[in-house]
Amino acid sequence: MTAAALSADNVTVHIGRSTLLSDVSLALRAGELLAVVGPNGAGKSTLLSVLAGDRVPDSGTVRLRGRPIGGYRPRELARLRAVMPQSSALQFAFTAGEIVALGRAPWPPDPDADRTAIAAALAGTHTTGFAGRAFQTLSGGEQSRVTLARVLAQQAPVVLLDEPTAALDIRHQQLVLHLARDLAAAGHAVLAVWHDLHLAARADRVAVLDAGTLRALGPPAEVLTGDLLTAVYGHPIRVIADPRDGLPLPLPG
Amino acid sequence: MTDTDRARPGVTSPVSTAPGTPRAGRRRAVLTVLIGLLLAAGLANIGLGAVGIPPPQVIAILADHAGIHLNIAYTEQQDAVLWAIRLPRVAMAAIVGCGLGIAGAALQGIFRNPLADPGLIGVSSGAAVGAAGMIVLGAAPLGLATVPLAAFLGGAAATALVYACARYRGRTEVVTLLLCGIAVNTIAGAVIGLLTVIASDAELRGIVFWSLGSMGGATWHNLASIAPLIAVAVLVLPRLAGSLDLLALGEREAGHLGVHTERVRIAVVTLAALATGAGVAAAGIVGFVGLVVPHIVRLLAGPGHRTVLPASALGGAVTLLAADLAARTVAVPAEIPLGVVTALIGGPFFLALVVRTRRRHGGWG
Repeated sequence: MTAAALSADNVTVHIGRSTLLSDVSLALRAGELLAVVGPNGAGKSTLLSVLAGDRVPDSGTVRLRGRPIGGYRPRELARLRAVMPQSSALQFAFTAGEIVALGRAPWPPDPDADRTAIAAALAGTHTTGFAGRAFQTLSGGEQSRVTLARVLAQQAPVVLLDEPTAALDIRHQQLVLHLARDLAAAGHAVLAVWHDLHLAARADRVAVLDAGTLRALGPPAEVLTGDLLTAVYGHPIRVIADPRDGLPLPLPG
Repeated sequence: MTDTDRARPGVTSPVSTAPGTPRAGRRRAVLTVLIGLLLAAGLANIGLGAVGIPPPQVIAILADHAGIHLNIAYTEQQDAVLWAIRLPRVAMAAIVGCGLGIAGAALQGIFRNPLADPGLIGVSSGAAVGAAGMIVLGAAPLGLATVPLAAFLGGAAATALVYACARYRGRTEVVTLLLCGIAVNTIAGAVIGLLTVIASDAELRGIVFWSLGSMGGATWHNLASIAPLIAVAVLVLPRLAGSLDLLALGEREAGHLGVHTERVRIAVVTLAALATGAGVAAAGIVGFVGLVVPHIVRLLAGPGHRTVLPASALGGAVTLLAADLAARTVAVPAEIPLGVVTALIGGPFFLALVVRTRRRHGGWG
């Protein structure tokens, strides 16, 4: 097993009297795509913000490359991990291309490398065509692809995605899934919070969160079972095997 | 940091490497035009008025003061008016305008909000409280710098208060921001009202001057006391341009991209209060420059702060020169208070901005 790129050890987060995360431990490895699933309010976004270093857990430690994440300076951290937020609100009329270019900010200026990274990120997310348009005028799905392009342009070895497909149609959901898989294949450590169980089933490993606790962590075929999902989501869910590749296909019912 | 990091605590924005943006050439064009306008406005302000001084005489007088004698005749009176009255006033208007323009642009950047004008959100009135308080107390422990520094502290306190009240989870709602501004303006108005009760007649005139704004008090002396403060803000704020660009994405997002958001916030609030406070100490409350100028600059040159900050400084100077020229010459021999002129232009502009935004996006939530 390779060393963890990013790990959480016994992480607990409280707000007031409620517990958002309770004793969660997981390790994200370079070269893997790890999906985090769970019902609304399970603590997925809290886990992501703790892993990103935004939020200091009440107990437990988050380590990036073995070092506590709180010990990094913001720019060091920005070169090591990128975060795609759920939604972006912008008050000023930056173009999509400029937004993607902002992903290069953590790196020393290098116009050629910057241009190459930006062009690749735009092409990869199929957003090259509206690079010159104002970000605010784009549709929700276009905005989230541009935001993903910004995250790709950052070229950080650890990539955290918070529901990257929430606003996307099926074609672009698949596009993002493939991008995430390609990133992992290229050696990045990729963690994605996912609502769609059938997308999560295409990850290397799946973490199931329920009411702040980690219920299961492992390969999709082992973790995504009808019994566990039914218990966690409080709704009957059956899982069939995809006739094409045998991967689990969770279905309501 | 030893590597080739982009300037601290901010980061250089790589926005200029974005594809499909026609803005690269715009920056130079906008800055060049603004410098031209600034020179033209400066000459007009020096030359026009009760005593006319044509451009050749202006140049001859300036050259004479620099020790170069040109063969152009001018009168004693022209020399006195230019050197003792017009020139300090022109320099004052330009410098105060620079400060207000760049302070507005930078505050809008950290509040992530195009309505954050130093006047609207209470920075100016906080500064006026500081200045008026010092005048009435009559204490001057720091000599000439006392009133500007008191204005700076008042402005900084007001900014910090508004910032603390209006910010919630890294976001500043427009409505909350403006309501906080109204509250701070009200409190500041009340404090100034109290000060007028205990003020002597001479002090009262000073306080009235502060609340309406005027360049009439410009002398080389008080210019020297405020110019360094504004110069610091105008020179340092552009170094934060990259961080302000990133802050447009959101505070958390900017943090993810390496911005030390807390440091940038403190730096911008301090520098903006410095520029606004010094401007208020010298010329009183001159509203709307910090709102109108950055807005127009963004329309022309795009939202990148590498352009918006210096262009707002230049545009602020041009605007205040034009407004001061109007204040001096429209109702000769009377002089209209400068703050009245900028409010007459800025108020309707502000309304139009609100109406336009309402029509496009249903208003500011």
